[in-house]
Amino acid sequence: MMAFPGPLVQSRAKSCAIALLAALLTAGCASGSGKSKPGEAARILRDQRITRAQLEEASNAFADRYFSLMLAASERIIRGNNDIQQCRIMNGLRLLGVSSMYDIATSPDTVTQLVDQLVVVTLQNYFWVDTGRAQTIWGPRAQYLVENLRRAREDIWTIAARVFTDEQLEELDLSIATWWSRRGGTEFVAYVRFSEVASVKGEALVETIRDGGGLLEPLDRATEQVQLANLALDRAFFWSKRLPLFMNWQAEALWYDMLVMPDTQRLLASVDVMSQSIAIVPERMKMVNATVAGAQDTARDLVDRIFHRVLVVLIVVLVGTFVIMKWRVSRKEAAS
Amino acid sequence: MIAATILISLAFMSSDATAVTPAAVVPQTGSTTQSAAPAGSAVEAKPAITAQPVVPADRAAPMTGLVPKALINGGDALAKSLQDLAESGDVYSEEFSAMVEQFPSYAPRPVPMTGAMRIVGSDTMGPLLSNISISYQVVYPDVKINVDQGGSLKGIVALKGGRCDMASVARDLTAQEVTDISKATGKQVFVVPVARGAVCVYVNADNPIAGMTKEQCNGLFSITHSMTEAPIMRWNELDSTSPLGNTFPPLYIPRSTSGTLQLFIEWCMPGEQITTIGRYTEPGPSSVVNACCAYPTAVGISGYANRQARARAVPLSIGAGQPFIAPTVAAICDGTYPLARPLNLVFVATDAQHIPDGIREFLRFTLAEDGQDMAAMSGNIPMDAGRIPEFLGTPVKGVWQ
Repeated sequence: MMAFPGPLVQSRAKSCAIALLAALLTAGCASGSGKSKPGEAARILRDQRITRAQLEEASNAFADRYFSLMLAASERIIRGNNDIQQCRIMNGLRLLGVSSMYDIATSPDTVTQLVDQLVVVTLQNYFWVDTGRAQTIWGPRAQYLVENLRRAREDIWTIAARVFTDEQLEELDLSIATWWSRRGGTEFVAYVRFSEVASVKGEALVETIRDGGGLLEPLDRATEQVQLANLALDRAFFWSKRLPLFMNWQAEALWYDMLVMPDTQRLLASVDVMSQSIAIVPERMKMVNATVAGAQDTARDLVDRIFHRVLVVLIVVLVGTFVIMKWRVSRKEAAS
Repeated sequence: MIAATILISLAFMSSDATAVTPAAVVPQTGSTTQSAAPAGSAVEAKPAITAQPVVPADRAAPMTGLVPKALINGGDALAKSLQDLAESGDVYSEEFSAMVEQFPSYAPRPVPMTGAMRIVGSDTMGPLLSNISISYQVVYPDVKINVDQGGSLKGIVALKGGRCDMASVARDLTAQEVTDISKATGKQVFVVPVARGAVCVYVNADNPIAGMTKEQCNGLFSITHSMTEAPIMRWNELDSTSPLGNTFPPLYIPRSTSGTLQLFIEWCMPGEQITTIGRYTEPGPSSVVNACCAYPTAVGISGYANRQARARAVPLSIGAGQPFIAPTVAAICDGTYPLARPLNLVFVATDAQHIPDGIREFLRFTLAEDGQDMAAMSGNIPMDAGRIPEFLGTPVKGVWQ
C-alpha cells in the first residue's frame, strides 16, 4: 500500500475546497447580480438576428400570403357581381397588388424587398381602407377586402419587427405617414417604392440595416457573391412558378377594359336594344299569325265565293245550253 | 342596324315556318292587301317595332343584366361619388384657413440660417414636424433637421439627457417633469404650443355607439377597472342596443411612451394599468386608426390628427349623466372636449434672452402662416394666434423678420 505524505494530501484537499468555494462564490455572485457572462449579450443578439436567407423566405412567404388574401377578397367581390365596373376595379387592384408584390419579392436586394413590401401594403391601407374608398366602390362586399388588407399590414409589420429595431420602425412609420400626408391623392400606390417615400435619411436607414445595424445578420463578405447568386437563382424559380397564378387575371383585365371602352359600351347598348327587339318578336309573330290566318280565311271565302259563282255560271251555262239544244231540236222536228 | 336586321331575320328563320316571311312583320292593320307587300321591306319595318313599347319597363330591366345600367347611363356616378369622398376626406377646412390667416407671415433672414437640429418625441406630431422641417429646409437649405418619433416620453427623456435640441410633447408637461428637466440640464424649460389636438377614442364608422363615459372607458381599458364593478368585455355592455351584440371589442393602442396614451390613462384610469386581454400595441398612431377602419368591432386610442373617413371619434362624457362631447374643432379649441390637448415643442435655455438662434427661428417659422398651414394640412388644429410667446419677438407689420 502506498502511503501519501499527509501534508500534501491535506494541501491538495484544501486547495480543492478553496477552488470549489471560489467557484461557488463566483457562480453565486454572478447569479445574484443578474449579470451574464461576458459575450452573453452578443450571443443572444446573434441568436435573435435573422439571416438574409430567412428574410428572403419571409418576404416570399408574405408575397404568397398577400396573393391568397387578395384572391379570397376578390372572389367575394367578383363572384355573382353583375357590375362590370366593380369587377374591373377589383381585378385591377388584385392584379396590380399581387404583381407588384411578386415584383418586389424577386428584386435583387433583400432589405429593399422588405421595405418596399412594407410601403406598398401600408399605403394600400391608407388608400383603400382608411379613406372609405373600398366601401364607396364595392359597398358591403368590400368588408372582406378591407379586413384582408389590414391583415396584410399586420403581417408585414411583424416581419419588419424581426429586422428593424423599434427606433428604426418608428422612422419607417414616420417616413410613410409624412409622404402620405403630402401626396394623399396618389392612386397607383401598388407601384410606389421606398426609394420614393424615404428621404436621404430613409435610404441611410436601409444601408444601416444592410451593414448589420439592425437585427439582420450582416453579409459575410467572403461568401457574399455565392449567397447572392443562390438567392438570384431562387428568385427566378419563385417568379416562374407563380407567374401562371395570375396570368388569367391579366386576360380578365383586358376583357373588363374592353367592356368599359366607350365603343364597346355603345355596341353593348345596341345589343341590349336588339335583345329587347328580339324579345318582342314572339308577340309580333302571334299578331302575324293571326293576320295570316285572317288572310287565309278571307282567301278561302273568296275562293268559296268564286267557286259558287263559277258553279252557278256553269249551271246557268249548262241549263242554257240544254235549253238552246232542246229549242234547236224542236225547230228541226217542226221543219221536217 | 344591319346587325339588328340580321338578328331579327335569324329569329324569324327559327320561328314557325308557316308564318315566316319578312314582309309579314309589316302589317299593323291586318289588311289582306298589305300582306302582299314585297319581300325585303323588313328594314323599313323596324322603326315601327321599336317605337311601340311592347315590353313593359319592369320586364326590360332584367334584359340589361348583360350591360349594367351604371355602365350605360350612369357610368360617371362612381367617379362622382369617389370625388365627393376625396373632398369629404380633406382635412383642411375653411375654418382652419381663417385661423391660419391670423398668423404673421415669415420673411427669410438676410443671412441664411445654417446648422443642424434634432427634434425627438411625439408620434402624433411626427408628420406635422416632418412637413414643417421640409418646408423650412426649402427656405434654408443649409439647415439639417432630424425629426424622430417614439412618444412624448422619449422626447422628454432625450431632452433631459441632452440628446436633442427640442422635444415634441403631445400633452401638457407635469410640474415634476419640468423640474426634472430643469435640474438635469441646469437650464430653464420653455414650452411652446405649436398646434392643437385631442386624444380620441375611435371605433369603426359603421358602429352606431352614441358615446362613452369616463367610467366605461375605465371598465374597457383598465385591468383593475376601479370605476366599474366588472371589466367591460362585450359591446352590449357598453351599449345595450349595439348591433354588435356580445362580440368582444379588441383594443388597439399606441406604445406606452406615447403622450396620447398617457393622457388617456391620466383621464380615465390614473395609476392603473392597461388591460392585457385582447389588447394590441400598434407601431404607429395611423395603424391604430387603420385597425378601427378595417374591423367593425375595434376600439382604438389615437390622436385627432389621425382621423379617417372609415373611423369615427366617439363623443366622450366626464361621467354618467353628463353630456357627450364630440371632438369638434370648436370643442377642442374651447376645451369642452375632455381630452383636448396642446401639441408642444419643449426646449431648454439659460433664459429668454439666450434662446439659440436656430430654435427661435424654427419656432417663428412654425408660428407663421407657413408653419400653421402645415399644422392644418397634417390634420391638426392651428394654434391660437394670440398665444405666441413674447420671447419670439414681435412681428413687424404682420411679418416675422
